Amino acid sequence: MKRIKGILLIIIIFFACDFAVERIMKHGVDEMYGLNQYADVLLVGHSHLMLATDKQQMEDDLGMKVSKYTREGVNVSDRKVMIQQFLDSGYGDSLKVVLYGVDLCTFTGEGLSANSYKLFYPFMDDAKIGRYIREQGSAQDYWLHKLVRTTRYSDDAMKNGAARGWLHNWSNMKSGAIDIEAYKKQLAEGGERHIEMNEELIAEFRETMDMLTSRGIKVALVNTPTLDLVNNYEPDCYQMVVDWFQHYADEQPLIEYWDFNPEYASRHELFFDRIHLNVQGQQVISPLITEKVKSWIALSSEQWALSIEE
Amino acid sequence: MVFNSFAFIIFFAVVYLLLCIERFTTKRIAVRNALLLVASYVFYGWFNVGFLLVLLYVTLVNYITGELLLKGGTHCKRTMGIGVVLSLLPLLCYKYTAFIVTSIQQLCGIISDAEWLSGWVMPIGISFFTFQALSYSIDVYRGKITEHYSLPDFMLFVAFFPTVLSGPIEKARNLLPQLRAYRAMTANAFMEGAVTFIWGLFKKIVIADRLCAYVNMAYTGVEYQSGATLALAAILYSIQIYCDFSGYSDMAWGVAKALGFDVTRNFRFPYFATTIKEFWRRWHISLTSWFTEYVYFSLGGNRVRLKARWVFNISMVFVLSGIWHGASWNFLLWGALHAVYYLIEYACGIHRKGYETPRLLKLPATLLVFVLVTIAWIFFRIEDFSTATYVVGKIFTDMASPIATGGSAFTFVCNLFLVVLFIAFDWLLYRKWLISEDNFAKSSVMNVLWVVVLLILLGLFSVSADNFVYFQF
Repeated sequence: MKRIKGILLIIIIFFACDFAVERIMKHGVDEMYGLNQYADVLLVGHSHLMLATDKQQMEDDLGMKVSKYTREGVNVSDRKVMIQQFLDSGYGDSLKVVLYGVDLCTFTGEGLSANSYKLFYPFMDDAKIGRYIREQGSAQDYWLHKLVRTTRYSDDAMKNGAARGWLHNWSNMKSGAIDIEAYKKQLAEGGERHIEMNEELIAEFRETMDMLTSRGIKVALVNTPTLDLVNNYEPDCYQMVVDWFQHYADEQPLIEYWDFNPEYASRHELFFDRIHLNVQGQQVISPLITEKVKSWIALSSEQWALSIEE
Repeated sequence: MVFNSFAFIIFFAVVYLLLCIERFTTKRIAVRNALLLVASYVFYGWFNVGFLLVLLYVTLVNYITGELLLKGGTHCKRTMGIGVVLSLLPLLCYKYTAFIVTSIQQLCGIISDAEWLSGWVMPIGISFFTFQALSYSIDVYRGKITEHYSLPDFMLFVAFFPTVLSGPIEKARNLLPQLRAYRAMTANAFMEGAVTFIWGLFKKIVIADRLCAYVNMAYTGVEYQSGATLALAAILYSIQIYCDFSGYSDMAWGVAKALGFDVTRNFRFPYFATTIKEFWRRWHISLTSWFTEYVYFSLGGNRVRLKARWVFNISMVFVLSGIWHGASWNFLLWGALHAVYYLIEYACGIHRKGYETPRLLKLPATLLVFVLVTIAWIFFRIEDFSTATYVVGKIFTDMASPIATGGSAFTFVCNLFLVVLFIAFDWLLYRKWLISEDNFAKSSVMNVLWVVVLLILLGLFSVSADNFVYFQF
């Protein structure tokens, strides 16, 4: 009997500690992604946009709250869930602008992590996210993470996010520069992703844009620089993607397409690797994005004031 | 099926439940053993049903040999010899044929890649269950076992699912009598087994599997790594292989304990040893004990007239234990290196009766043993001799170089933190400040907290890998 009591005691203490640790981690993650604050600007994308933007600097320059919900490897479907999550969080009402990261491979089905849904484990208490995880993964995985809350952070990227959130550290730590010769060798061996226009992903993308614009939220499709060598790997396909985004944005009154490639793709010293900017690259690109956001919001306000006067 | 899988949890729950039902209904040893036998064959056959044939063959050969020896007669030695050869036949075929054929080809200058061998899939744990089965026939031959055991009981002894994949290599005279007795499945035993299982699981999926990624990164393209990186990888590999194998052994011990059986503790804090001799008394105890009893003693042990003969006996045991791991020159070299360490220690008088490492020298001696063992592990891990010597050379000539962190600096820091935590836990267990089989009854608040901390760390830091390093052996 004493032993059975001991086993029960361990189980109770474990679940209490499990809950407490999960709360601590969750707070860190929410801080990291700005999911526990009213924000005027929301950044959504994968590591491409993550490393190109400096949240702190943007907030200081804009005088607004910025939530940077960018995570490694998230595809178009994941981003739709991320945006939905923010809008449903109760903090979405203040949102004015969404900066949505796009690149040459936005509509390429393969290449990004197939199990990126696992990045949503910390938020699985949210019914919609829970359903998304249930659809993407196995029942075993789902229930394990549902019951043992600390397992939601077993991925080091999540723990890193939580730690950085607690430390309020949003800095880009990629200080090196790409080895161009080595990359050229890799390219010559055909080691690069092919550009595709996956119809399913395009449909998901359109739905995401409709979800935002139907609420009056402006969206900037931000194409932060990728190395010119990557862009020229399949030049026709690349141009097709760029044209598609430009054309789509031209058709939508609340959507703009910002492409930083023409000017910066050939500045090799700004790149950590073929698609990610290093610290120097971030210092160049982030203020440009901020400036664009500032003028866009100012312009909108003027237009809004004019429409009131009329 | 591996211990760290969801399938195993379900499997074990079903087996445990059935055994509990049996306990409250029939209370017959034959029924319990039949249940365990079916469970063991399902567990082993889960990997590949074909493997069961090899398991069955080894079982039958040793059982028949044992039965013939128990009948007595004038041809015992011949029967034993044939039994040993037939038992070792699958092991030799699967594990050593390619090595022998290619070595002969190289010696004769024949160029052929022995392609006909590439389709052979070695049954998992073949070295373990073959040696376990052999312990029975040899013990019968030596008169240490005089009783007859039923075929189902013997089949269960060889296939017993907690030990069949990676040991501990149980001696027949330890496990078989337990299979004949009615063992109580108490809450105490379950708790003790569960705690040991959790500790083993922590070592496997939190420490070993995380370190594996770094070690693989460092040893893939050693020429691009700095000496400091290779040194760190060598240290981490020592910890990885210990955590991997002892983690599995602890899980096996825990599962057996929960079912009411006592199997050998395979590891007793080997990295706290102050001499190589002591290290081998603490590392893979069941294999060391098997080789000592069935090889070393058979060769005459230390009761030989010539010192040279004793040196040969010792060297043979180490070399054989190296080759036991696989048919490759690097394993042989690893064994030989340990033999050299052992003999140097002997020459220094460390093995003389009554010798004890002076208190002040304990820490430096422990570190020295760890360094020596780590160097030997380099030859164990890297198959190619020239690459291994290159790594050792670079470690000693390029130590003042930066250490590579691998894919993520955060993961690197996490891993170092976990290694320090693991060493602290291991030390606390070594000092018996945490739960061990000797002081389990004295479970305290600290122990409860320790288990909870382990579970939380498992949740936060575990990575999933189905493979155990020692499965390949």
